[in-house]
Amino acid sequence: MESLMKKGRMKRWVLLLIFMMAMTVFVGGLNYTIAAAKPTKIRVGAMAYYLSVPLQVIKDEKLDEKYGFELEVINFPSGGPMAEALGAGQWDIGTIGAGGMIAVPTYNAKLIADVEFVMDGAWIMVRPDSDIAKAGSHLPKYPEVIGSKATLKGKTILGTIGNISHYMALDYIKLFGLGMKDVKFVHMETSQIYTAFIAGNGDVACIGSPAAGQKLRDQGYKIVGGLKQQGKSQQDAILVSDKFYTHNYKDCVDFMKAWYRATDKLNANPEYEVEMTKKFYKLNGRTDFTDAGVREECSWNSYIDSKNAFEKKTGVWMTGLVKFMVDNKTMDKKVLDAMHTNIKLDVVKDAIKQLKAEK
Amino acid sequence: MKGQFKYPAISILSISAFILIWYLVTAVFNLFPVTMLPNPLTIVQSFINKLFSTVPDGGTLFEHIWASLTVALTGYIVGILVGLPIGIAMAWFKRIDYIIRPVFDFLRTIPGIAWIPIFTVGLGIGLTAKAAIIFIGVFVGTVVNVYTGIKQTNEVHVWVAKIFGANSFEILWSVAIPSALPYIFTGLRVSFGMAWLGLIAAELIAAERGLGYMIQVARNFGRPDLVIVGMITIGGIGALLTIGLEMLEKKVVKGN
Repeated sequence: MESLMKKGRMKRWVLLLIFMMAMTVFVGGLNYTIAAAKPTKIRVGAMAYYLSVPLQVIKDEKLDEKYGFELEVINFPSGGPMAEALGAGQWDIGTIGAGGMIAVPTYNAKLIADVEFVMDGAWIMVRPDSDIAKAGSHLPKYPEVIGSKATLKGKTILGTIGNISHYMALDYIKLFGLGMKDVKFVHMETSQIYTAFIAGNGDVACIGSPAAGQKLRDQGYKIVGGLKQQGKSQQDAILVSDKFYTHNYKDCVDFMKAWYRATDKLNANPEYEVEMTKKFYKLNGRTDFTDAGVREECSWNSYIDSKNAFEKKTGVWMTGLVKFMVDNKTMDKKVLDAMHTNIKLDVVKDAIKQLKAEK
Repeated sequence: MKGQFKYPAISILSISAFILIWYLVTAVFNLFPVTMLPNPLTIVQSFINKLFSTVPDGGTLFEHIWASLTVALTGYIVGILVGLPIGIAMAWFKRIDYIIRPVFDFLRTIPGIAWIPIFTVGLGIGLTAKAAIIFIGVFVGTVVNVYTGIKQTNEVHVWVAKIFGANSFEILWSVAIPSALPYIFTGLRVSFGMAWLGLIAAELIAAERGLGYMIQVARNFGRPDLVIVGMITIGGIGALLTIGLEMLEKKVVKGN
């Protein structure tokens, strides 16, 4: 009798155990289904400049929802900290300028696309009474480049080493047959160049931000050079972390589909582009822009969209930048090799193919 | 182990253990990517290279050290020369204390880095502005220690001096200042630490040479090895100069 009771109790325990296991499997499966249905969160590194404006369109137009991902924008003040954050695994995809020349070779990021089709606004400026401005144009190939070897020699140039202003300055003095040893290049944080220059410091200022350049120009300072003026293209790029590119390729393609839908919309309507740019700047804490300034900035620049994505070779600007730094012995040659290896065109190709199929 | 060798032996052991752990986590177990924390051997190699190489910042290690020493020592010496008499005057003369102290208490809490925009506009981007950032830290450290030292003067010594007919200036010169010397030297050491710590902030203003500048440029070019070389050099030179100040203190301060 007792053994029968014991057997019955055992049976109940076994049944309870089987039930619990079944429930665990069911709940686990349910969770998995919910997790699988949840869109991937893409952490997008951005800066409050023209290069990241399409992200605002993606948000406003809910293009992330449409293409099955969740957009999380992480803002950075400049490319340097942004590149370091990539190394620390803080973002998956990002829009970046010269900081990309560190992020791609050092942190093995993949350069999957360029951002702008045409661009201006990175300028070299002098005071109106400067002898450099008075020297006039001497380079027939670059009529907008002002100055001369004699007036530039020994001058103090304010810029930030390792970013666009450094590249711009090196290229500018090279046009006159000068090197870094012929001038005094003073390294300053980008935000301080404007303050220092208007306070009377330095002879030449390399201004990478259009808003600061416009302000100086409107105060009478003269533009004597600039990337566009020096015949050099300027393009920001879209980078993907190595990990995200390897494990989330489909999400990279989905992001680029949303990105091109956004840039199509911005390129199609200049007024919309201005409004979105102002909105993006305002929401991201920029206070240094004006309506006229943004209009002018938008008139200089345009995005690479789904129609012109293959008209220009991807990564040319960034590679050129690295090559220039290597030639000037500022960077090691192996950096250039890493740059070449990490330009990946497959994401854009797949994204455009899928967008065409959508139509 | 004899007492005189015990402390240096422990110091060497702790430094060796630190380097060994660093080597193990970076080179053996690969817990950190090279782009984040290079191993000690890479740092040694980069250190030797930087003695001769000007890549990527345009200067060799010695050029950077010299530039930083110029900035730090200029700010330090001026800070001491101004801080010493003001600290003594504030501690000895109540009226001066009442006048200066409210402003001093307000200014001492402002970190050097916060002065950068004002110094850039007012003093430019040269040595003066950079030394001024260092000066702020040194001045505050010196005044606080000198003030405390003079205030600690033993009243019995003051009475004795008064009984022997010494006037206020004589008491200050012969009693208060000598008895405050340990505090004054502590102030010099603390201030030196502040001067050296302010170097990075000072070279944030503008620079073409200097250890802080070298670290910033290495950061911009994704070179953590050179960032660590800069850090070790700053630490090493700081330690050497502090030892120098301690030796000077032992010679000058009686009873130490």
